[in-house]
Amino acid sequence: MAAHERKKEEKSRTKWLLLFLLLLLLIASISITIWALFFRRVPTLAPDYAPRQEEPYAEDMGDDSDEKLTQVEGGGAVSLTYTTEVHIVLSEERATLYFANPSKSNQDMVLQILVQDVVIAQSGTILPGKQIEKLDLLEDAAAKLQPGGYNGEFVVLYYQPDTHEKTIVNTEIPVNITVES
Amino acid sequence: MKTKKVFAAILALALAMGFGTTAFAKENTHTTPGTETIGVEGSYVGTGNLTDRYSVKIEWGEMTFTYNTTGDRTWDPETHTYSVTDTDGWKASGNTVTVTNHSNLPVDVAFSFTKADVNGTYTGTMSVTSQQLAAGVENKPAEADSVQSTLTLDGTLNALQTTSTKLGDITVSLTAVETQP
Repeated sequence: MAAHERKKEEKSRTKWLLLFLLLLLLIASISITIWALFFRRVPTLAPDYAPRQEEPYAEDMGDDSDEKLTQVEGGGAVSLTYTTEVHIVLSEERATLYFANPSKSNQDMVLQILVQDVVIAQSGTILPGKQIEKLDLLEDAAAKLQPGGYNGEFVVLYYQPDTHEKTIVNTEIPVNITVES
Repeated sequence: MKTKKVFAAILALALAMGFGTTAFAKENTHTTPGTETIGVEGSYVGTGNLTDRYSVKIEWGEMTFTYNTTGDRTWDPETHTYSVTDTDGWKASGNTVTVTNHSNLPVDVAFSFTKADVNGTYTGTMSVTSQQLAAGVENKPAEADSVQSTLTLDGTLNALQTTSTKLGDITVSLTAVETQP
């Protein structure tokens, strides 16, 4: 009789242990799901092909009459105009800057703004003859910044206008970023 | 009689004041007899600011590199490499990058090569790694300061890499020059 009771007790303990393990497994899987959905940092990679979408904030420079730069076959020739001051308003999740791809350029461009090697903003395609004065921050980028000054960087990527392929040359430009709430 | 004296005193005073005035004028305008020097004074008044805006031109060739091998290739099972003859090497075409500064400020230019994730023991070297370009001179765009840097590859490419592939990226860094106040 006592052996039967002990066996029953042992069985019950095993059941509880199994339930406890299952509960732990459930908590772990819920935690991983929450992390993956809300906290996982998705790296922004430079596209190998120019984005199909043109930059929505791009405006005409009005320099259509300028002659195109001479370009060797298979090579590239670009002219870029910019200032090194960037202003970010966190509440608007937007950066104010000046960057232009003059009409004489032979390549499309994509502009990235980096802070401490993290991409916080990336433009659509900036065609020759277009300039931008503002750029929306990437999702969650505002949450990573605080009011103050940052040493940032413009990364300019060049794309062949016919194949949309990224060229071998890119450009990095250190910029001063001021962030306000 | 008294009236005569008062009149004479007033006349003398008037004459004395007149001499004094002449003396001041002389001190200011005449240096040598027959020569007149007129002091010209000026000051800058303006509501507009001079805007520092960078404008840089970047040109590059087709950047084609071919690893030529003239001898037989023998597989070495110990090192898992192909042995190649000494006459083998890289043949480059359009491997130069040119940067021209059309800004109203000097710019520090730096060139670097980053190897792509391609099988091969090659490395890339830029002939010029950094140089400061002077600011553009007003009305002389044709005399803008420029620098050329040529990419050369050393080492070998995997013998199985017979189709054209991207071997790496060239980064052109454009940094504002810190000026002393």
